[in-house]
Amino acid sequence: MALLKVENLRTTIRTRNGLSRPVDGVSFEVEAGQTLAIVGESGCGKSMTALSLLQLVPEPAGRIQSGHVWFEGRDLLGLTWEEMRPLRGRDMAMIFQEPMTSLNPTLTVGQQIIESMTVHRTARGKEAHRRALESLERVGVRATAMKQYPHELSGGMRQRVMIAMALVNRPKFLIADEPTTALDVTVQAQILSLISELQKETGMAVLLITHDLGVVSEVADKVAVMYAGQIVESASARELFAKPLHPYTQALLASLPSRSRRGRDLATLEGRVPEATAWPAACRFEQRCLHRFAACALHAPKEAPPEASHPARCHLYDPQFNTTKVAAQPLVTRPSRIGTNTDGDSGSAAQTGQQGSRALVEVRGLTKDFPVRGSILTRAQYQRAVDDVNFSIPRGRTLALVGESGSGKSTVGLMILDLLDPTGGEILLDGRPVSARRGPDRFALRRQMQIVFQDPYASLNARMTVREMLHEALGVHSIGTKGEDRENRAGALLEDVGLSRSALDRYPHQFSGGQRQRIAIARALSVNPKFIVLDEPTSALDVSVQSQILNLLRRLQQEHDLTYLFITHNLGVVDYFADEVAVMQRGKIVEYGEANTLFDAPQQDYTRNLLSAVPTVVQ
Amino acid sequence: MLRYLLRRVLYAVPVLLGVSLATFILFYGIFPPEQIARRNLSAKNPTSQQIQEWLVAHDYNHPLPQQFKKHMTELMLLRFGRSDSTGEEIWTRIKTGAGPSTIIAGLVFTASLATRLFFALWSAYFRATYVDTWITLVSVFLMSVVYIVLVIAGQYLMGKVLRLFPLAGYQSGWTAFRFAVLPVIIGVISGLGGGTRLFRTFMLEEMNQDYVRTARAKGVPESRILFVHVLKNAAIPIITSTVLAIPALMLGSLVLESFFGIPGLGSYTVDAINAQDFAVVRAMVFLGTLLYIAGAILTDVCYALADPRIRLE
Amino acid sequence: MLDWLSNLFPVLVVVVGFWSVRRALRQPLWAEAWRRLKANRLALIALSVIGVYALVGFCDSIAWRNDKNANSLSLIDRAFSRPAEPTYSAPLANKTFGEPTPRALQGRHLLGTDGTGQDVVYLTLKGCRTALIIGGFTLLIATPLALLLGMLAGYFGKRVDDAVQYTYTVLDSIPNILLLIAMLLVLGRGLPQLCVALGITSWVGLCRLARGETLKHREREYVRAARALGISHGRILMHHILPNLLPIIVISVTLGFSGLVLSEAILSYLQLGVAAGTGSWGNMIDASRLELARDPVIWWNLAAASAALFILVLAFNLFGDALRDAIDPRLNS
Ligand SMILES: Nc1ncnc2c1ncn2[C@@H]1O[C@H](COP(=O)(O)OP(=O)(O)O)[C@@H](O)[C@H]1O
Ligand code: SF4
Ligand SMILES: [Mg+2]
Repeated sequence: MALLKVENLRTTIRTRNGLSRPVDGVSFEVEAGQTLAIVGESGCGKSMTALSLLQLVPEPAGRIQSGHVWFEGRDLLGLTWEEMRPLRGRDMAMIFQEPMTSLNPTLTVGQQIIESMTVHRTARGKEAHRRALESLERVGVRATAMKQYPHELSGGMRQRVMIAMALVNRPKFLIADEPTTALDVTVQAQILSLISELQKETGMAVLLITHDLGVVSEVADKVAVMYAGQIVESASARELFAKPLHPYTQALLASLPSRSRRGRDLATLEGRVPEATAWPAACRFEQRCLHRFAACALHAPKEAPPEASHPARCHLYDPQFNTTKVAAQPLVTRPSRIGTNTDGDSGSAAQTGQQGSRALVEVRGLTKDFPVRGSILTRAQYQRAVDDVNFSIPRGRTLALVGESGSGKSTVGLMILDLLDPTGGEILLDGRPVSARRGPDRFALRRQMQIVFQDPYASLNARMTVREMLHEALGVHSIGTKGEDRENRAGALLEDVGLSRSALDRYPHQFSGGQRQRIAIARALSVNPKFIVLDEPTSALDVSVQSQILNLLRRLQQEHDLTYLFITHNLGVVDYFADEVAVMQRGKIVEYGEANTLFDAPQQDYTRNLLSAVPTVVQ
Repeated sequence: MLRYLLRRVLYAVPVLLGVSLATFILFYGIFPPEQIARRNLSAKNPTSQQIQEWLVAHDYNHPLPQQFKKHMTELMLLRFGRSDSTGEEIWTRIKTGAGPSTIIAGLVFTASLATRLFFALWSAYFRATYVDTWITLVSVFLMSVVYIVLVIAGQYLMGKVLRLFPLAGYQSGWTAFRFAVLPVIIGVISGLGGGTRLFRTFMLEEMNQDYVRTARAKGVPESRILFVHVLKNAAIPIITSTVLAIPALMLGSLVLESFFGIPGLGSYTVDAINAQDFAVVRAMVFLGTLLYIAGAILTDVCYALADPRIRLE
Repeated sequence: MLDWLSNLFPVLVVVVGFWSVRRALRQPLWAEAWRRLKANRLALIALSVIGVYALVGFCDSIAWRNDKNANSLSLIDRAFSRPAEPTYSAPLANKTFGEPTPRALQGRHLLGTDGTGQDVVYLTLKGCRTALIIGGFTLLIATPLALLLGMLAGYFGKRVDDAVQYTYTVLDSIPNILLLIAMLLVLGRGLPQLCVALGITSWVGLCRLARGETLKHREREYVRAARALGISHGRILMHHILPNLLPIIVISVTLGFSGLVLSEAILSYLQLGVAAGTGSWGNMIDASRLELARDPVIWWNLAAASAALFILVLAFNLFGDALRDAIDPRLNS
């Protein structure tokens, strides 16, 4: 008998826009010692599923409507809040995505771990203290942390503390909701292997929620793919990656950037997850599906159609609807090719790789000190955020700047754009120093360099329409003539980034994350720059949307002969996108070279660690 | 800690200088001593001779730069001089008034804090039930009542109709408390609505934090979540808002004391207003500022003690 | 000539008010907020109450003289142009109150008359204009000042910030009531003086708020993007940051209004309110202190003034709360 068996779980939340159904008939099982991964884009209802298991849905708007959660043969949904409480944290534990905010800032780490035991009376006093120390030691946190407060620990350490706290009562079942999403790749790898080890030791079952297919492929035994409140495909991890059946799963896999896809467009998944208040009635994936046919808009697919080798909610495997039998073999979404490049690797290099062509952007000895603390009465102290950075980017090429968070990547980008004054060093654009320019010359510089930021929510002014944004940019630089001409230009810009002209009248909140990123790119393009700094442009996006943006950036680079500085911590993207790579660690560039050679034979330990930590999908 | 305190006290010096400059501009620049003399002299049209005599008698007969120097140094040394109207040494009145004022203000302060916390905790514990709705509604009503009306009506109801407490007046010693009851009750009620609502907001804000979800997932009982986890975090904004309440407390004392005939600093100030006694008002402004700054420093220290994220360095 | 000017002003205020509301409602944020407000019955009632007060205040501001030497009379004055009674009279009574030999009254008075024989309903209505001027004009002085200084300090930081912060720290460390007393003692009693004094004490909170918010927005990526495009600092402040600050400013102004109206009553008690001739609730309440001590008590003066004040303040508090919930649903748990 399975340790946990979920049957037809339905959860609703009352919202201003009507009744939201984030979990809409979900069933799955987890055996002791097993890891089940639930994957899907954000907004598919993964977190709400996890919270429903512990009956922690937001009060009072949220309600578990129906279904069963069998845990060791008991139906948890029949229990009251007070009857449920002894199970939480003792038999079933949970860890969350945000290690920064999930611990109480005013209690010490020790107090919080010990509390886990005292509320369940599993240990008291000295015994509890001893066990808290033991569990901290087990997750690799030093004993002195017992008396420390959460803010004194790094993000990775805090997530370890969360794990220690969750496991101190030796639960039979652990729910981990995106436990590594907020962490750097190297830390992510450590946390994941820690969870696996602990699982082997204690034999607990793990429900891992994630949107990262790489993570799934590294740790999961079974996978459930979730879309729009339902599980659309479930199989063992090996089978799912070898033979994905559902068009959604296939599209997710095909949109992963990697070196083998270099120079070609990634498969994309247009559109976005529908709102949880209005799931489509028939196939919920229909609007975005490349394989849809007449029956898809009319009938809801069965959970496990007869011709599918494992459950896959799709009519393609149902002879009742699909008479053409396309699905006799698994479908593969072929990435389409664009441009004239047939050879992915040498394409862009051949374009601009001529000898002697001067670099468009050159950075020499760039240094930045930030005051750490300074007031009138204390002497200011400085921290070196960027330390003697040198690189150059040839025209039309992409240099990727990679490294862990806090290594100084964005600071370099801001200094190049003259948005931040360097402490030392020199930045040359077209051979002329950037910072030496003054007045109108400096203003003209703005037209040549632009930037696209990570957070598509913060990078657009919420109180301006798209028209106002684009017209402002054109107006400041007197591009075109006022009125119709600019209106046409603005429309053309939007079309260039794959949006329709009707977007002009709308405000940012009316767009999805990916669309906002397109608008940000259109705004950057409005002044016809030669050089664009892309500061983690896809890090806040789902993989499916990431591939759309990467395709767009690639096309724009070719059409407008753009030069990119691509700042990222995602090495998969770099491997797919960059010509050259500079690896940054604590403000310094530790390795710098051509992308392929650097990835094939990394010279530095740091780079090797970074590379080996990236979870990859084994297909 | 000591270094922090020292820094904090040092930082108060330029602020105090600024305050005394502001009072100088107000009392010498905008409203010169001649006018003060005119207002204080009972004669309708005092002769310039009379004015000059008054100025000499009250030490206002210096050219502006000297006057400025004198003003700044004396305030900084806390030499407030004599009253314009009675000629009495201001410090002697401050000394006699401090006792009653401290008793009233202290009682109002502690009783207010306790009652607000009590109701806010109730409201947060029973959030989204009718208990919460009623507490919130009554709070908004209380917030909208004019202080003065509360004082007048309170005195009328409790003192005159119910005859529970002495209507007004004061005696030192233990009997002081008998006289303090009525003003303190009214002082507490007057701030109860706003305070309860504010504290409730702080607590509900903490209720939405991620660590509360963690505590629930750990199986911590709701009562413990509220009284340990949430209260500890909500204490931080509560402490900050309490310092913002200090000026309101002074205002309260001002009206309460004069209304109930308690011979504290508040009544002294109100009497000074009625007597057009500029010297006393000037002294009270400076003294009030000193108290306020002291309160602010105290708050910062408490704040740092409550919030482990802040270190006093 | 002067009549014209003084009547033009209230009309202008109303027209500008309507115009800005209509313009704002074209923006999705405010349109959405209005949609939510409309669904909230309590908020609508509060808004109508505020509207009624505003109408009374407006009528009281439209005034002209019958002939050159007469006093200018407002619409409200004209509506109540009955000769005064000799002294106190109870609500709806037909004889004067508290005299050994009560005299007959010339008319009935819904809420009685005060010591000088004036109709209490009339006095209460006269208080509307004073209250609205105190709330409105004070905020008209304080808000632009606070926004300007706060935004400059938050955006440019460094020296500007130091100067602004020092100024408001100094002002803020003088307890408000003492500062008000000092200023009013110096400036004298009167409506303009009161507005100036209250303006000086109330810009600080708003300035602090504007500075903090600007600091936050300055670091947002949309401001960086605007700077990367070469948009000037002035334009960034006016067109990018200001519209983002408006919601929070509007909320704080709405809730601040009631505080100002309440202050007037307390200052009147301290004999620092508006001049005795100007109708004001504070003065009515202050006068009623002695009336309560009489036997039998005279309660109607106090009741009318405090009820009028209570209802206006309550309406502002309720509306401010509803507005906050409507603008930012996150604040509403
Ligand atoms: N507290 C909430 N109130 C209203 N709707 C919510 C709430 N939390 C989540 N939802 C809705 O539920 C849906 C699924 O959310 P979630 O479970 O967080 O998805 P995931 O974890 O897959 O990203 C979303 O459409 C979201 O809008
Ligand atoms: S049922 Fe149709 S639309 Fe839905 S996933 Fe299958 S093919 Fe696509
Ligand atoms: Mg989630």
